[in-house]
Amino acid sequence: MKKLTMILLCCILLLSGCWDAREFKEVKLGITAAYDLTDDGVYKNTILIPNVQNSSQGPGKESTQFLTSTGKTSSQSRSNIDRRLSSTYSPAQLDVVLLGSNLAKQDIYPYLDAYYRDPRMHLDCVPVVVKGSAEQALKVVPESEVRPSEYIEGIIESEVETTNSVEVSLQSIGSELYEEGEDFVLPLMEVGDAGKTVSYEGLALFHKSSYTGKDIDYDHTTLFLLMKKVKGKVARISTKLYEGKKPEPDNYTTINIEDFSSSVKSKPDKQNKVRTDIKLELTVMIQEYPQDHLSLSDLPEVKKNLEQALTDQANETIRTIQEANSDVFGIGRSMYGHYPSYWEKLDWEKDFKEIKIVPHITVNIRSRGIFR
Amino acid sequence: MAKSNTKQKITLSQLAYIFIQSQIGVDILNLSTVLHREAGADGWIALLIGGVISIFFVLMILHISKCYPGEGLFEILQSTFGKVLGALVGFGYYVYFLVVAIYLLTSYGELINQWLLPETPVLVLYALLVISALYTISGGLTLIAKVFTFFAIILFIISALFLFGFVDAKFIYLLPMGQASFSEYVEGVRVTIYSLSSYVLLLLFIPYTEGSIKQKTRTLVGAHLLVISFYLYTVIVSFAHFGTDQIDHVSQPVLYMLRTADSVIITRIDIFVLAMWTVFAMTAFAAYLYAAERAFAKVPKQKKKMLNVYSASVIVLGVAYWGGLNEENIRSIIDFQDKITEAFTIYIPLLLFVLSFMRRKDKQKGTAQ
Repeated sequence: MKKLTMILLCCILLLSGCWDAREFKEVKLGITAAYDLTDDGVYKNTILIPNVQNSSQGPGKESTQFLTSTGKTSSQSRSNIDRRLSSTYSPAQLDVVLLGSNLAKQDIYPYLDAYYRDPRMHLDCVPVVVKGSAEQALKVVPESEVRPSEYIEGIIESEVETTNSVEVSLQSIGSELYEEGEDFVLPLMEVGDAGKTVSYEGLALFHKSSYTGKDIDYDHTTLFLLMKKVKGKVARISTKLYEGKKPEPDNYTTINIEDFSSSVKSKPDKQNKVRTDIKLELTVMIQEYPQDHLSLSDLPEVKKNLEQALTDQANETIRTIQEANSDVFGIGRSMYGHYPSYWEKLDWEKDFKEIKIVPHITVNIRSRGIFR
Repeated sequence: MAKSNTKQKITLSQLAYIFIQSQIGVDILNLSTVLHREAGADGWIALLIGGVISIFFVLMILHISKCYPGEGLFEILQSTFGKVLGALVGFGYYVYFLVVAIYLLTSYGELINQWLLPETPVLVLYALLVISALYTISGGLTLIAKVFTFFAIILFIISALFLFGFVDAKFIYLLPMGQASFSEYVEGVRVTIYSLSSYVLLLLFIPYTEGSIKQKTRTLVGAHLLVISFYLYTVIVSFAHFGTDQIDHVSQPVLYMLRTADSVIITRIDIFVLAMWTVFAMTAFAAYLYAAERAFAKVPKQKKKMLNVYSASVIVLGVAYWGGLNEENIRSIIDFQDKITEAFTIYIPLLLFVLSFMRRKDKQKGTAQ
């Protein structure tokens, strides 16, 4: 009996194979996908598949293959793509999903459902909104790039580092997609230079699960993200300090944010239903002051002007957010969390536009740089 | 195969590990969702209340065991209810343990099939778990105790990996508190007690443990508190990670939240956790299979006893296979289990508890005469 057991156990250990082996050579991995809605409402899917060719010296050169297909759902168009490939197409390693603005303005969830449902899918995939056609953006392949398939992902990554974009993935927007009283932003891109490059344009504001069509401009993203308590490796803001000085650059300054603290607090308010205070404290270094001669005695004035300029900028951003009805600060959810009975009386769909959001920005200038 | 003889003794710490390992089975993966469906964002409060109540059940079991020194569950049933009724209730427990084992097996198969190995025939998955569980229990009590103690380390590894869930967590999702209605709390508490219901198994292990009843009480309550705090931890992480609406759509939140957690060494932590979790599934399954085996403790011949275990595992495999065919069948197994769980984990222990007082009076009378 014991012998038999031992033999059986050895057999199990030595002779077992794997039913679920999926060999790399049998699949084609898509790296970037673009989802569009054509004018007649047909869903169009384009994917980019990189093929690395072997070369004798150095890293192999990468060639890219584009395939486009249409279908009723994303799975259907995926199988339509599959028909034209010698091996199976797998979107399990997708890094970026580009959503054309036409499609994003609809409910985006149905197109992403497969990602949430299938455990093989990698949810660490960045959704990006493209102004106009996503397919066109996908097909931009600058020749200077060594790895064309990583072009768009690279742009997003560097923008996250400079605090112009948030680090998003399908997973991180998952809870906001469902949650009431909380919305999210996605990176926004546009094809530029007559189709030769793609550029980062700011953050697209979403409400529930569709794109509102309104965005936070590229110039305003850094301040917005700091208010949302997000900071990449570097954060830099250029802002207008003065009016009417000549030459024109003298009116501007650039600050480098070294440290910050931010808090968003909401409470019920009689006049405006809800009042939200956003406190933002910045410790900055003056990086650029084209006017020259930044003496110590000037600093209080510079600080005052800077605070004023930043507050104006923040107010402008808040106006955009409220117009878009996109509660990106999660004010509604926080009201529900802290004042559940008061929340019952609110009609957030309408009331969000009416509430008062006040930014309080204080700046502490730590250093003027080494050239005074 | 080695004998499982009743004179084998286990130590106090082994008792604690057996208790922990048999508690943490399938429920750890889906408890958060179930609690959230029952009691909303207050699910974790219901868990706390249920946890406290279940401590009383553990104390009750300890008291019963004190009143019947040296007797296991099935002996106690016999001496409380008499021979015929005792055998009947004993058979009931046999069925109950088998049903729980079936539930554990089908859920495990379903999970592995969905998450990890979609192409592998589910029967093979079942067979792997059953074989390893059979191998564990064939060595008797001391071997079970050693295996369970050895695998306890996994609990700490998994707890550490769950920390990744905090990356995207927002604690505002735990607010507002106290929104659930009374009946929702009751449902949440009920679910909690069910998922902590392995205390029934304790009656099989306490008599064979070395140490005084006081030491055993301290050990078991400590182990139980550890399990409750582990559950609370997973529930709070997953609540804070998913928010109020998404969590209802995700059936295994603690795995799902690790899908994007990227670390340098392991790309897909969810898969890694799942692979380690199969050990929990095995130990819990083995505990219930062992409990079913004890129903035949009175059968004198060793060989016959193992035969009973084999027949029990064939039944379990058969029903589990039927259950694995589609979700409806699994549903009906779970529904059936829910129905009988109440009787075997709440009412009968309560009854035994009450009867144990009367027995004590009998004894006192006996000594007085």
